[in-house]
Amino acid sequence: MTTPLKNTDFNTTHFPTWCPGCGDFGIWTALKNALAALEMKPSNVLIVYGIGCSGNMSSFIKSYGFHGLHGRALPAAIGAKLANKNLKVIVVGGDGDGYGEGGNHFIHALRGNVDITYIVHDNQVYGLTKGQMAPTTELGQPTSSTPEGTVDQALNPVALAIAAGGSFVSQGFAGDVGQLTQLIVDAVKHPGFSHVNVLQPCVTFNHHNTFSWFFKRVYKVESVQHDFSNKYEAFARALEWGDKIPTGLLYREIRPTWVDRVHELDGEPLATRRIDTIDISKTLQSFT
Amino acid sequence: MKPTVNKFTWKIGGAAGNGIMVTGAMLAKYVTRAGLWSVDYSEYPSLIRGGHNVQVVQVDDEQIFSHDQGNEILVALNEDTVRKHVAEMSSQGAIIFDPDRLTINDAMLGGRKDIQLVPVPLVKLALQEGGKDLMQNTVALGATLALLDAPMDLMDEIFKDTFGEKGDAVVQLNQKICKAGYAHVREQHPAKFPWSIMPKPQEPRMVIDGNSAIALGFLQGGLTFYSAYPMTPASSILTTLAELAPKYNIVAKHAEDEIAAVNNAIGASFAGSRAACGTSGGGFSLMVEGLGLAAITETPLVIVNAQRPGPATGLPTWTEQGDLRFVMHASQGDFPRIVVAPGDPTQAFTESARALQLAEHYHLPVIILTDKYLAEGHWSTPLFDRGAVPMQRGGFVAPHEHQGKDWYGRYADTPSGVTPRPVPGQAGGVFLANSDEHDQYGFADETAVNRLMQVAKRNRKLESALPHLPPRTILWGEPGADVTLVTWGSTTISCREALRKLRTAGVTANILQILYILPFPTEEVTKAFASAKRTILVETNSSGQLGSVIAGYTGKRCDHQLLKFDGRPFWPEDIVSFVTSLH
Ligand SMILES: Cc1ncc(C[n+]2csc(CCOP(=O)(O)OP(=O)(O)O)c2C)c(N)n1
Ligand code: SF4
Repeated sequence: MTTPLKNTDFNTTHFPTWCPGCGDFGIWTALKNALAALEMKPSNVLIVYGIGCSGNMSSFIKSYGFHGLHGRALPAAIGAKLANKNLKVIVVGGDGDGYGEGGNHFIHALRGNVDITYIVHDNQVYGLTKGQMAPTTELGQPTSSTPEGTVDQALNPVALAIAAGGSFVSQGFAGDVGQLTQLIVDAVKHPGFSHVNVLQPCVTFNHHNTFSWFFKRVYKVESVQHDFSNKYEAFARALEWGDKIPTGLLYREIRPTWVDRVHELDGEPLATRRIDTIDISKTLQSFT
Repeated sequence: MKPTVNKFTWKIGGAAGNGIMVTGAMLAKYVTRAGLWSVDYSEYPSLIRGGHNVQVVQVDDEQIFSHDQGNEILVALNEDTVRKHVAEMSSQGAIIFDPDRLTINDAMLGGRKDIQLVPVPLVKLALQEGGKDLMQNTVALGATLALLDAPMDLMDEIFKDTFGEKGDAVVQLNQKICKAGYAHVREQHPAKFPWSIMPKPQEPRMVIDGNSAIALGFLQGGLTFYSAYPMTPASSILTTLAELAPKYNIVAKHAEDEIAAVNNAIGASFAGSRAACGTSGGGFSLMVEGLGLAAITETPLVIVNAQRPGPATGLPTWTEQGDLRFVMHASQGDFPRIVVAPGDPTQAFTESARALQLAEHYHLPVIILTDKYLAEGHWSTPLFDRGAVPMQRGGFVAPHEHQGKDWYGRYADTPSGVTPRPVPGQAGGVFLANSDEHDQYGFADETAVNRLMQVAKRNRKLESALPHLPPRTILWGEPGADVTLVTWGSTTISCREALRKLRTAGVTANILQILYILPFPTEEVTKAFASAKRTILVETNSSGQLGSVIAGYTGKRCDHQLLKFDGRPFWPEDIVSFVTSLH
């Protein structure tokens, strides 16, 4: 009999270097809890990370890891999943990383519905580069790159995800590890691209959207009998911000994944196909 | 005039959207099956409709590499074609045109009286036989064959092979329409045309373009994942692989942009598949950061850069070799890479297959550098040698070799610099691939000692790969010649043609082709320069990039340089007249 996996089975010899009190700790704990709950051994999962405080989690979780480029975690993860469709692939990044630098990839990942899970540390600021404006920074908020306050309207990632064709769109809060754990479990189980936007206080650079600010505002959508299969209702909830901020599963739809639709991917994964039996002679013949 | 057998140039010109490219491809196939050699080349502006498009097919008894400027048959689908190309016509050459659509007067011919006009009601015949007006091209093809006194049955077979999948009706329609053009010329222009085709027996040969050669090389090389964002002149690698994907069970992914394309390929490769991506210079610019990611994570990666003239959008549909130094140094940091510049379809095939193998075995990025001329030109080519590079997977660690371990030292130092890698999912092989400098397990490590070790380890892989590279320079022609043309990539083709012509002119010349730009073949080039009498640098860019690279590595400078950067490849005449002017 195998012993069930524990959260600590995913620890490394490196202890997180995040600022004490950072919301990243909650996400880290929830992700490890989820991996243990899903019975995914460290060698069975690939986590692809972006660059940021968020991506630094790469050193603190034991699994196959790929700490790629700023903004480019999604396309690398998608490539890996298409090469080995049997692999569980999770992506961890920041809001600057995924909604700013890599925004284009996000939109197209939602459309493509490759079966991976995307967890975004949404701290509404750039942490690692010391407090500049992020795409999700609230309008008017001063940051180190916008000392007089931002003038760009904040991006709403969950509304965008629904509009762009996301098949699993959810929002968690780093201050509610229990809920976040369950969301990640559900997201990983979802057959398709699953998006978990995590409201994550940055205690060092964002003094506006703090833990206590969020605690006063977040509510669970289950508590209001939200119908996550209704796109219009989901979109209306996704747009909520300010006094009330929804958390939980906002929208879900089951539709064929990229792998389902591409028949070349039936059977053996690409990565392990034989190359010594390839015969191109017929194709050569077509050029004569 | 003395009749000429099996040696002529055919040109078709019209507006974009006239479907002329297909016609030239058919003719090239015809002459190749007839045992002759062809090259074809097209010029077109960056437009889908209108503009002026030309396709040239040059035919020869001997292997031919690039075409010259003379022309014997001109199919003119519009007035522009006559005006622009009449000057190139040989005396007694023919212009095939549709008298219902085009009136050719003396002014258009620039006073030339030595050109035969061959009016053929192209559209009327196409419609009469039940085709669409676009099939005027097929009528023109028939007319061409009649002028050349060439047998029709060979053409019938080509229609069968080309359109067979679409059904007998399509095959027969093409055959009928082509014959209508043939019969018309036979009846109306019995006058003797001085050029003709006489088929001869031969081993089968292909007519193939550089991009298809790369696609086939990739398939032969075990590629299972290709990602790209369309960009001329690289696009047809993507579309060819996409078309062949169901046959070979591979994925050809049209990514959202080139940054995604390169990262898709890196991810696929990381997970264990042989992967590549391709683009032109603009897209390559976007891939540059990914190139460095592949390097530091030691993930195998193959990138094709099919050059076109830049900077920026440049001349989208023309040719240039302006990216040489760019690809040699692209991306921040200092890391090893392989850069190979094939000089014909055969090299493109073999080196593309090899690129996948080298990247995989040595965990290195490999760049295949071509240009529009090679990418989209077609040549009669002997069948590729499928066994040129025996395929074998490598660079991996088997699961039993690290069993029981908690973490795998994927970046541990090794004598060859290559640390065998597990693929994600493999039990016991857990590691982190990190774009930050890292220790043996992949954890960020900024210590000086580790940095020195990792840089040296990465650099050493290139030395380990060296014995597995083919000769990195190729000498075409006889050693000890009066003149050595020093060149790379597609310009080698123009030089090879010039060599044929120089021989007839009584000048002995040879060519030093640098096939592998990196790792630079310093020793071979130094030796070649030592024995060369007179060196001429020939490349299509304005600053002589290869010349400066050679100087950097060897301290040698070419005695002369011949550069061209108008977007056109070298005509062999350009090279011949330059060489003879030196004598
Ligand atoms: C191409 C590129 N541009 C910029 C950077 C610098 N950079 C690193 S992290 C970062 C922003 C991080 O913000 P976010 O993604 O929100 O993550 P956080 O640190 O807040 O978790 C930036 C701009 C980089 N590494 N690469
Ligand atoms: S800077 Fe902000 S996001 Fe980064 S570790 Fe510190 S608190 Fe967390």
